[in-house]
Amino acid sequence: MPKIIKNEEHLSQILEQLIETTGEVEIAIETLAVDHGIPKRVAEALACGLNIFPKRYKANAGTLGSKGQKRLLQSKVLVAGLGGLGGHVVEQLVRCGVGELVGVDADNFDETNLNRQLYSDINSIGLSKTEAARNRVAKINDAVEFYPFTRKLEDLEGNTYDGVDLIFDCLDTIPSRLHLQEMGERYSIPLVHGAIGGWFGQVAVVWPGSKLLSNIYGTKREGIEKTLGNPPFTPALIATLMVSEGIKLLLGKKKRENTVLFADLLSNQWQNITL
Amino acid sequence: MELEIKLFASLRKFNQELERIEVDDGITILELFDKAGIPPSEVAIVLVNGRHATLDQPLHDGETVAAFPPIAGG
Repeated sequence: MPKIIKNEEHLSQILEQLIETTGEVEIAIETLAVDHGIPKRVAEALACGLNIFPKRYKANAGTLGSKGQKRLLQSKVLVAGLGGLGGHVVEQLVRCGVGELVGVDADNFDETNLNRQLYSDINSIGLSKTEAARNRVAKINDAVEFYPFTRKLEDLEGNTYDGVDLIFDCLDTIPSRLHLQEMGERYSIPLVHGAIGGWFGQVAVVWPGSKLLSNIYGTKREGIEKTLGNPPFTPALIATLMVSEGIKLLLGKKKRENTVLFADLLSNQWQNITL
Repeated sequence: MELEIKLFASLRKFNQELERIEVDDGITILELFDKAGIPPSEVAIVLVNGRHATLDQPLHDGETVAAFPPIAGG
């Protein structure tokens, strides 16, 4: 990475020339990546640095700006849990153009996932959730790098968190969520937390040192989803809120506060509380 | 004394109509839940006038108690 930073100006000049001669941003990016042995996401970030948007991010431009898009392409995000929340989170992060994704899940898809987990379908039953996510990412955006870890979060090695800017907590048990909070604290990485159960969900940003998840769950070790289950619409909504919180964090648009947003889709009530 | 109660998400099923309740002075949150038919085992977060509170906390006239269940699915 330092080598690329050192050459950034030089590579940008080459990219500019390539765009001029080929007249096609995508071809110029591809050529630069291949000729200079750099990842495509790095070449795309260089284009954004020139205020030129690759076509696949054009619709992001007005919202993120070229600086914001560049920042996302240079970001590395860990998604813990690739089930109901995690599938939707990965889908949106890839389409946002977050450059590197670390996906962690020990499980394979089964029939009970079909009602809500985006990457589960009749053909993916039995397939590991990490493999399904990797296949999907490759289909959507070949500039995004996806690093699959098919194991329990607790079994991850410390260096998995190297260079990670942000963690998405898409897990489904309170003990594993508390473990993730501890990792965020140990490696000084903020967490975007999301949880669902029935018609209800919650979203929060857990800043390192805040112990917000400990305050949310107290002594509880099981949630209402054990009796209410998870319908398809709640994870999609909560994942969307998580991603918008995460993008704000990555772009430096999020101020530090210990709040939890509760969504009650049964009575259409939204409640923001501070802990 | 009179208290205001706000139940959120799945907790509403325990007492849908309840908004205000007349209770003895000095009652704790735990005693309030007992009186209102809310199982403490179903409550993760309690706020009194918007501030995080513990179940043994005594309540005062006019306070608002808000309760939220634990949500942990993914």
